[in-house]
Amino acid sequence: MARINQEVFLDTNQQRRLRIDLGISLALIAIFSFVYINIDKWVITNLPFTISPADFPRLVTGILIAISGLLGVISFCALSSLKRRQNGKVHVGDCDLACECEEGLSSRQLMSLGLYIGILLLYIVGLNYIGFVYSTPIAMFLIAKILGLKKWIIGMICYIIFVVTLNYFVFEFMHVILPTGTLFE
Amino acid sequence: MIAEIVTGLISVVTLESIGAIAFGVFVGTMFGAIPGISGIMAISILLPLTFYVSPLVGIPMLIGIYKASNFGGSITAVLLNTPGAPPAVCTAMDGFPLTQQGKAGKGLDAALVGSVFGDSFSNILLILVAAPLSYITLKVGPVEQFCLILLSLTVVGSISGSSIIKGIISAGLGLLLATVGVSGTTGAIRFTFGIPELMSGIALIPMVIGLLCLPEVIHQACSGLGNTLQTKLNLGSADDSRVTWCEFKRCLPILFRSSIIGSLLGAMPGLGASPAAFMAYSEARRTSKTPEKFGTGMIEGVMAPEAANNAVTGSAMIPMLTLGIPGDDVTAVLMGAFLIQGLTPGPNIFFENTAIVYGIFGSLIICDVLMYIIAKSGFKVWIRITQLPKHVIFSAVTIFAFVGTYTINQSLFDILCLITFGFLGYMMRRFDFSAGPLIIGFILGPILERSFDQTMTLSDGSYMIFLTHPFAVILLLLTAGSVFSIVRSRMRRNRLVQNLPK
Repeated sequence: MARINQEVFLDTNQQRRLRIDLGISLALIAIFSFVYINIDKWVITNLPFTISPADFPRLVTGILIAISGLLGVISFCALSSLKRRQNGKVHVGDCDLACECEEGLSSRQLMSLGLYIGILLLYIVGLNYIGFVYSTPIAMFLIAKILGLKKWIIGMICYIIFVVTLNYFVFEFMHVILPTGTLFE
Repeated sequence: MIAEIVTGLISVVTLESIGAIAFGVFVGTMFGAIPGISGIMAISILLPLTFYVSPLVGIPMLIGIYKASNFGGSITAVLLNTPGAPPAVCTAMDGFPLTQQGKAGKGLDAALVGSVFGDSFSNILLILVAAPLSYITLKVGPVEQFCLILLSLTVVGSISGSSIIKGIISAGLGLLLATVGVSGTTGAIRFTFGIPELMSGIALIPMVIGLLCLPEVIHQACSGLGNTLQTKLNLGSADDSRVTWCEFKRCLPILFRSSIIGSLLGAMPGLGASPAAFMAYSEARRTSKTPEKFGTGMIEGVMAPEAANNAVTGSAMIPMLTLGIPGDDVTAVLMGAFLIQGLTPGPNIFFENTAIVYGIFGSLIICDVLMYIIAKSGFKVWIRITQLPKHVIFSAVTIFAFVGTYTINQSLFDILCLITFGFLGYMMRRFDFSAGPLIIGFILGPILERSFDQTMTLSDGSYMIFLTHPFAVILLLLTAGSVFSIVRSRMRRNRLVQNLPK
């Protein structure tokens, strides 16, 4: 029974992946078709040529549409055969918990992803306004907090030393001035 | 040729070059040893540094990272049973049991000896074969070049992860992204959407760093992993902490066989290091007098895959240097480094930049020596590094990625591209799309388009030209053959994995 439950769990996981692949395939077909239809609007030619500058991107986009379609077809066929195989085995009730765990992981992942991207975007704003030396330790601290930093005082001291050293190294050896911030100009 | 090799060796025996190689080896070993970080991430972060130094300093540094990171990935395989890269899976099978027996030092030394041996073997092959091969490849015209690039895109097959179709989609996306900006052949402005910064196209470095480095940081953040498990690791007593001379002599035939396997497979675009490592391990087991002991801590089981996967590094550069075709994703990024320095890999590089090419060959030899010395003397350091907390490593990686990107053009738009590609890279990873093919498609796209345009101009738009050039026909058949062999080697690898001892 445990073995059957495990098989059903794996099949359910695989079904979920195949459905995602099918969705991705449809999304890619839509995106690449949109690009294909609008290529001539997005290519600005200045001089007449034997070969149009839109030919190569059009060829690549066409191939991408075909390959995305192939991905969709293969995913659909695999999904159908998996569903046929699963008919008659013990059903989903026993693996609800596993599926819920998957859902929970996705929400947490999305939140962490959103937090990390948000920190990076704020970091760009910080670089622009307060400069590299002031914004970087804050960004490093926030990223480290997401990754599990506990001793924040020691962390901050290390980050400040790291940033000052890096700033010096980049200026002295690479002769590049990292952003100084518009607020201090 | 010997005179040129000696001249090349002399040109890199400078404090700057040796220092750069030593730095690259140290960084490569360190990055390879840290779970979650790979050599290609290190190469992409340090790629911008090559702008500010001469080619004989920058490129050997990156090559040092490339070679040392393979060994670095084996460190985690041996010590933690966590291969840093797929080719190190076989290393873990016999390496980790050695650690469990209190012989971690022997396991690491076996991996190092195998790595250096395989590396040296393929370096010698590269030095001897590359220049003569370039004379033949000079005969290549735009028709043949187009077919060659198509063949090179089959390298996608070896780095596509679980799905070749997804790999092809990634590569196609890379080709499409390469068309953004002003066209090199027609001067037309494509896909800029009115953004002035896109007129010069998408910059390579923000894309490479974004696709390769940031997704790993995001993945670690999403996994919620805290501090690394602090297990006490023991290098072992005197004889158990190193490979003895008797053991080395006993393993010499295996080292040679594995190096040959790795060199042959590495020279073929499309196969990569994983099949080489698996085949070498399987061959070592097959020819062993005690095959049943494999998986319990046999040093042959560590040396064989290591020799093979490091032998791939040198021979993967053969198609890159002679034909302008990257042998794997790492050589694709290395090719980007060459292009940044104004060197165009391909047959002409041996004639237009002879001194630099042979200097790079000389640096390969120095790299092996330094790799042995640095890696061997730092076993205790590598053990410590594998146990660094993740919040230390990945916050630093993020900042290095930002700084490296900013130093190219001092533009915040590049940073925005970095974040965009970081997000794209994570979503690609999440849904099993590999980033390597995208980078390869991006680098080869302009060359492919240029040769395609030239071919169509020569033939007045007729595709029959591909069938009227014999060399082009051969290359197209090789492409079809390569696709077939990749699919077959994948199926064979899956069977090998199932048959290997657990």
